Amino acid sequence: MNRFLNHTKQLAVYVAVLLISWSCTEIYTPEVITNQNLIYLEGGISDASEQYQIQLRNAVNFNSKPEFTAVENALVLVIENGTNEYSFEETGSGVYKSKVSDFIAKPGSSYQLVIETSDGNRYESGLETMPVNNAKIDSVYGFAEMVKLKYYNTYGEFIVKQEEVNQIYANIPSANENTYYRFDCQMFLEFISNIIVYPGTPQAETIELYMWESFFPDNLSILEANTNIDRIDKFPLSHTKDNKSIYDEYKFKFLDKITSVYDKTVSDTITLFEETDTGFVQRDSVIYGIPITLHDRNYYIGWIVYISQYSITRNAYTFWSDINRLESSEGEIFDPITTQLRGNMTCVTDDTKQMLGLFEVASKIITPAFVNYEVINGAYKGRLLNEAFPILTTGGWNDSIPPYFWVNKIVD
Amino acid sequence: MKLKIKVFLFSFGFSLFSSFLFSQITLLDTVYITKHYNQESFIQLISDLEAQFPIRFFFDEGDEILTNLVFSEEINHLNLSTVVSRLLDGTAYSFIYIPKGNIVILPKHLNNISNVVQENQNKEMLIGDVRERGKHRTAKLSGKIVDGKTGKPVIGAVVYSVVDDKGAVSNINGEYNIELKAGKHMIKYSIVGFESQEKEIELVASGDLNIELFEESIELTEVIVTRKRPDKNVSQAQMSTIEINAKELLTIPTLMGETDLIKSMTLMPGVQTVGEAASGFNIRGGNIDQNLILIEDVPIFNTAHLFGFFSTIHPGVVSNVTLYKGNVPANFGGRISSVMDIGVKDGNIEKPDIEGGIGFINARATIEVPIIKNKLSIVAGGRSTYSDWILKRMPDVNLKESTAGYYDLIAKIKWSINKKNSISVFGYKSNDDFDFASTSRYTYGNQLANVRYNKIFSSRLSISALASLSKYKLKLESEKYVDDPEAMRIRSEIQLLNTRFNITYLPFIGNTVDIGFEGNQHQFSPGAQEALSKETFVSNIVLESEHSKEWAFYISDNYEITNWLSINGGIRYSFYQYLGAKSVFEFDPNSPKSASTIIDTNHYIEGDKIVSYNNPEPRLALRFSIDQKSSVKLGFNASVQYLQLLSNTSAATPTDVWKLADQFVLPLKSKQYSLGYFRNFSDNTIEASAEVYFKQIENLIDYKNGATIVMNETIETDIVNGKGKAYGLELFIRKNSGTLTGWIGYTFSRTLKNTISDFTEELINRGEYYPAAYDKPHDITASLNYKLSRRWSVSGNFTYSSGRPVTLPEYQFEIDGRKLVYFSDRNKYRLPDYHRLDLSISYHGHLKAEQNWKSSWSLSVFNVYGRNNPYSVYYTKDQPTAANNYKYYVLYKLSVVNRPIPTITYNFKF
Repeated sequence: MNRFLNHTKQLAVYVAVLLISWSCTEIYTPEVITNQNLIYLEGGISDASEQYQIQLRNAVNFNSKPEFTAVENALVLVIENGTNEYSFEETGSGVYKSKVSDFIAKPGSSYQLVIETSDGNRYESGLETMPVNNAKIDSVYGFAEMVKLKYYNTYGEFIVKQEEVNQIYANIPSANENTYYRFDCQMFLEFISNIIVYPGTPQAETIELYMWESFFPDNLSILEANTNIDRIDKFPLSHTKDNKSIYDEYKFKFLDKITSVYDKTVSDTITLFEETDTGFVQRDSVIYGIPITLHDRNYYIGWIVYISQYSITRNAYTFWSDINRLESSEGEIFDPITTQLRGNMTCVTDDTKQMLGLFEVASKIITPAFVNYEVINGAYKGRLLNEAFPILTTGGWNDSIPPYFWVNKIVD
Repeated sequence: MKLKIKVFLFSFGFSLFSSFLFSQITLLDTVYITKHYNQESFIQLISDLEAQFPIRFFFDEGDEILTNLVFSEEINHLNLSTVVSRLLDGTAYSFIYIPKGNIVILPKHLNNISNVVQENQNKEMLIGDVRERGKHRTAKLSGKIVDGKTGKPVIGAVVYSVVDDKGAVSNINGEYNIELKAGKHMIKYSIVGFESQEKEIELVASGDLNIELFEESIELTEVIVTRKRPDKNVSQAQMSTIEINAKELLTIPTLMGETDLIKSMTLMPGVQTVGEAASGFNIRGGNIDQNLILIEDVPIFNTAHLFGFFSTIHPGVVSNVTLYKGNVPANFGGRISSVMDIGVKDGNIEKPDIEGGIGFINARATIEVPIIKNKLSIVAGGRSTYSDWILKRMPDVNLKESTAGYYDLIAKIKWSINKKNSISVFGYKSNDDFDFASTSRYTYGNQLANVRYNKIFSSRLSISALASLSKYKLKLESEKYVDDPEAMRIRSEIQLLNTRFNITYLPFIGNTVDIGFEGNQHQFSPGAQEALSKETFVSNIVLESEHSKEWAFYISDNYEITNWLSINGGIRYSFYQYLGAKSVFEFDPNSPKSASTIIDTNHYIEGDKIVSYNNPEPRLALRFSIDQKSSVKLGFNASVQYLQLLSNTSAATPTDVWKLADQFVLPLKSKQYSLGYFRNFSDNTIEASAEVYFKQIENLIDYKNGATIVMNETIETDIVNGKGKAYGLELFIRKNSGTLTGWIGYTFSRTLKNTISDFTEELINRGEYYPAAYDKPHDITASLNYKLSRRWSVSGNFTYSSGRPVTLPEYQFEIDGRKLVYFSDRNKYRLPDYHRLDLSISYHGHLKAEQNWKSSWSLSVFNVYGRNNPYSVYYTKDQPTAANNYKYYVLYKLSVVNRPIPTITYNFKF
C-alpha cells in the first residue's frame, strides 16, 4: 500500500518533469517557533528477565544542530496494577534503569510510568496492560529480491537505488484475537573462509576460518493481526545486502583482523611465512602482516536470525505506525496531513507541556532460526533453532574449530 | 452558402432594403467588372464574384431554375448592379442589396410581401394586423432568434425595449416572448459574440418578429461561456454568479496553451485553488468536493486530467457556463459551495462543421453534423495527449518504461421533433492511464450519459425531464512485481443515477416559476483489494459498498415586483436515506472511535434504512434598484450535502475516496449570507461590484493524525467532525467591450475550521479554530485583453494571493535510532505569497466570412518572470555535515512551474 501511495507522489513529480520539465525544488528554511523545552522518552518494559531502561532527552528546533541533551535528575518509576511501585535509577546521563532482581513485568498486568522532572513537572503514561503473546513464528525462510534502497551517494546526496537484497520472511499462525506485534532482528552472517598459508610452496597449507558478522537491520516491522486472518504468510522481517556485496565489504575487514591478530599473536596451529625478495621466510608460528588470500566462493553458509517478537498494545502499534508513516512520508510532495507522533505520556501538572515518546509494555518471545544461503527452488531454506546463544555482536572468527553457536548448512 | 430568404422576409422586410439599394451608393455601384462570360454557370459566376469582391450572395440552393441558369455575355466595365441585373434578366428573380456586401436573390413575387412585418414610411416595422391599431393597450412580441450563419437557435439573447425598459431572454430554442405597451418601440437584440441589431417597430397587436444574428467576428468559438443582458449584473436579483465571455476565455493565457474552463475560473474573485497543478477549485471557503460540476446536467466526480494539470472538460463542445458561488437556484442542490453548470452545444443543423486545435501536449477536435437537416444533429468532440510518445524518448529508464496518457470523448445528439418537442442524448467518457516504470499502474476515468426531453406547451408553460448516469472508476495495480508479496490490485467505483423533472411557468410578464423534483441513487464501492502474488501477506479485502437514495422537491419564483424591487426566492426540501446492505460498527461511547473500541456490529440487509435525514434548503435573493445603473442585493442560501470526498492531502488526488453521509459522517450543512452593491458605467460596458459574505458550515470533517484513506475498513475512526466559517469581501470591475476588455478583482477571505469531540486526543489543535488548507486571505487577479487590430490582440493576466497554510516540522528528535521530526499545530505556518504574470499574443487569419478554413495562432508565455511559486513543502533526509549544521533533514519547497513557459497553439475550423 505504501508503495502505491509513494508512487502516486513520485508519479506526479514525473508527470511534472515529463510534461513541463519546469518543476523545481529549492531548500526552504522558514523560521519555526519552538518555545517549549520538549522532552522525549525511549524505552519500556517487557516480561523478559532483563534490566528495563527509560531514556529521557530534549528535542531540538528543526533548524538547529541535532544535539539532544539528556534530561537528568528525574524521578522515574513504574506502578504495577496501581499498587506496586518500582523506581528506576539514573545509571547514566538521562538513562534510567530498573533492577532485575526487583522487577520483572508480567503479561496481563497493567503498568503506568510516572516521571517527575527537576523543574517540578510530572508526566504520566496511560495504564498499559501487557498483552499475552499467543502466536509464535512457525517458519522462517528467505528470498533474493530486488528492492529500492535509500542511501547517500559519494557526493552526500540522498538517493534511491534498486538493489538485490536477501529478504527474510516468517510465517505466523493466527492468535485468534486482535493482536499487534513488533519485530526486531539480530542477524549473524556465517561464512567459512580459507587462508592459504605460504602459497606456492611445498609448505602451503589451507586453514579453515569460521567467520561471522553481526547485523541489526533498522527496518521497523510491525503487524496488526485480526481474527479474520487464518495465518500470516510471508511476513517480511528484515533484509540485508546481497551475498556478494557483503563479502566484498567484509573480506578486507576480515583480512585486516586476521593479519593484525597474527601480526602480534603466536599461533599453535598455523605456521606462516613471509614473502621476501629471496623467497618465503618462515616466521615460526608468529604471523607478521603476510599476504593471505581469501577465496570468495562457496564459503557462505547462512544466517543465524534471532527474531524478537514483541506482543504490543494498541497504543504501541499506533505509535510505531506513526513512526513508519513519518519515515515514509518523507519526500511526499502532495502535502499530506502530517503524522503527529502519538505517544502515551501526558503532563499532569501543566497542560501546555508535552512529552514525546512511548512507554512500551510488551511481552517478548525470541525465535532463533537459521536460513541457508543456498537457493533451492528459488528460496533460501530455513529452520527454527532450539536455542538462542549469546553471540558476539561485533562479529569475529575462529580458526579450524567452529564456535559454539555455529549452525551448519541445512542439507535435505 | 445557403439562402435564408424566409428569415430575411420575417426579419428585415424587403422594401426596407430596396430603399437602401436605391438611396445609397453601395458596392453595387462602385464595383466594376470586365469579363467575357461564355456559358458560365450561375454558381460559378457568383463564386467568382465572391472571390474577387467583398460581397456575398444569398439564394435558395434548392432552386434548380436558379442553379441551372447559365450566362453568356461580354461585360466591359459595367458595375455590379448591372451585371447582376443582366444575369437575372428574363428570369422570375430579382435581387436586393443589404449593406456590407450582401446580395439576396429571390423570386420577384416575394419582393414586396410580408405576412407578418410590414414597412411603413418611417422604416418602422409594423407588428400585428394594422386593422387592430388602437384596440390593445399591450401586446405580445414573440419570435425566434437564430444564428444567421448556422440556423441554430441563439440561446440567451437579450431582447430589450428601450421605451418600456423591459427585457426578455431567448430560451433554449431561441424563442423569446415579451409583453409591451402598444405603440412604437426600439427593440434591441443582443448577445455577446454577435452583432447587435436594433429594430424600430410599431406594435399594434401581438405578432412575431424573427431575427437572425450574425457573429461579431469569425474568431473561433471554442467556448461560449455567457448569455447575459448588458445590465444583467445590476438588474437581476441573482448575485454571486460568474460568467466569462467566450472571447475573454480564449484570450486568457494558459499553461501549455490549453484553454481550460476551470483554471480560467480560478482567476475570478472568490474562486481559489491550492496550487498550480491542483485539481478542482475552492469557492468562498469551500472544499473542492463542495462544488457541483454539471456537464449537460450530469454531475462529474473527477474533473482532473494528469493529476490536475488540465481539466476533463473539452472546451470545444461547451456552449455556456455559469458558476453560482452564492445564491444557488433552488433547482440545484447536493453541494454546499457552488454549482458550475456547463452546457454542451447543439450540433449544427445546417451543415457540417469541424474545428480543432493542436497544442504542446495534446490535440483536440470537434465535429458537428446535421443528420436530418434542421431536425437532427450530432456534435462530437475528443481530446488526446501524445505524452506517451514523448515518454518513450526520454533518457531516464524509469520514464522510458512509464506511460502517462489521457483522453476524453463527448457527444450529443439532439432531435428537434417539432417546434415544441425535442429530445437529446448525451454521452461522455474520460480516461487517465499512468504506468510508473511498469511497477504501478493507475487507471481512472468518468463516464456520463443522459437523455433529456423538452416540451413547450405554450409560451407560458414548458417542461423538461432528464435521466442521467455518472460513474467514476479507479484501478491501481502492481504489474511488474506480481511475485512480490506486496503486489496487489485495488479497485473502487462510484455510480450515480439521477432523474429530474422541471416545470417552468410564466403566470405573467416578469414572473417565472420553476417547480420540480430530483432523485439520486448513489452506489459507492470504496475499495476492493486483491493480492496478485500467490505467496503474500496482502489480504483480499472488499470494503462494503455504500448505498443511498436522495430526493429533493423545489419551487422557486423569479419575480420582478416593481422596477426597483425584484425577488428570486425558493425552497428546496431534501430527503436522504443511507441504506444497507452494510455492517455498521457500534463504538464505545466513552472512548474515542477506533478499531479497538468497537463494542458491537449491526448488520443491515439490502435496502434496509440505516439512517435518514431531511432538510429544508431555503434560498432568497433580493434586488433593490437605486437607479438604472446601480442596485443593492441581499442573498441567503442554505444548502445540504450528503456526500464528501475523503482526501488527506491539500491537493486532491485520483485515489481520494467519496463517502456517503451515515451516522458518523453527518450531512454537510451550509448557510451563506451575502450583500452586494452593483453599478455599471459607460452604457453597461463597465461593470463593478462589491460583495461581502459570511458562511457557516456544520459537520465539516477533518482527519486525525496520520489518517489512512485508501482501503480503510473503519474510516470513521480516522475522521473527526467539526465546523467551519468563512467570510470575505470581493471587489470586481470588468470591461466588456471596446479594444480593451477584461477584469480586475480583489478578494479578502478567511476560512477557518475546528474540530469537535468529547475526547481531547481526537481534537486537532486542541479544538481551536485553525485555517483551512485553502485559506488565502488576499487575492488579486487582473485579466486584460487589448485588440491591436482585427488580426492581432494581446492579453495577460496577473494573479497574487497570500501563501496558503502549511504544517511544518518544528522539532527533531531520535527514537530507536531513528531520526524523526515533530510537526507544528496543523496549518500553523504559511507558504510564501503566490504571484504570476502570463501574457499571450494572438493572430487571427482567414478573416473573410466566405472563407471556409479559419485559423488562429496563439503564442502564450506562462509565468513570464519565472516566479518560483511554492506548491508544497516537504522534507527529506540529509547527510549531516558541517555545511548543513549536521542536520539529518532538509526542508524543500516544490514549485511546479518555476520558469517562463512559452507555448504556441494552432486552432482551426472549417
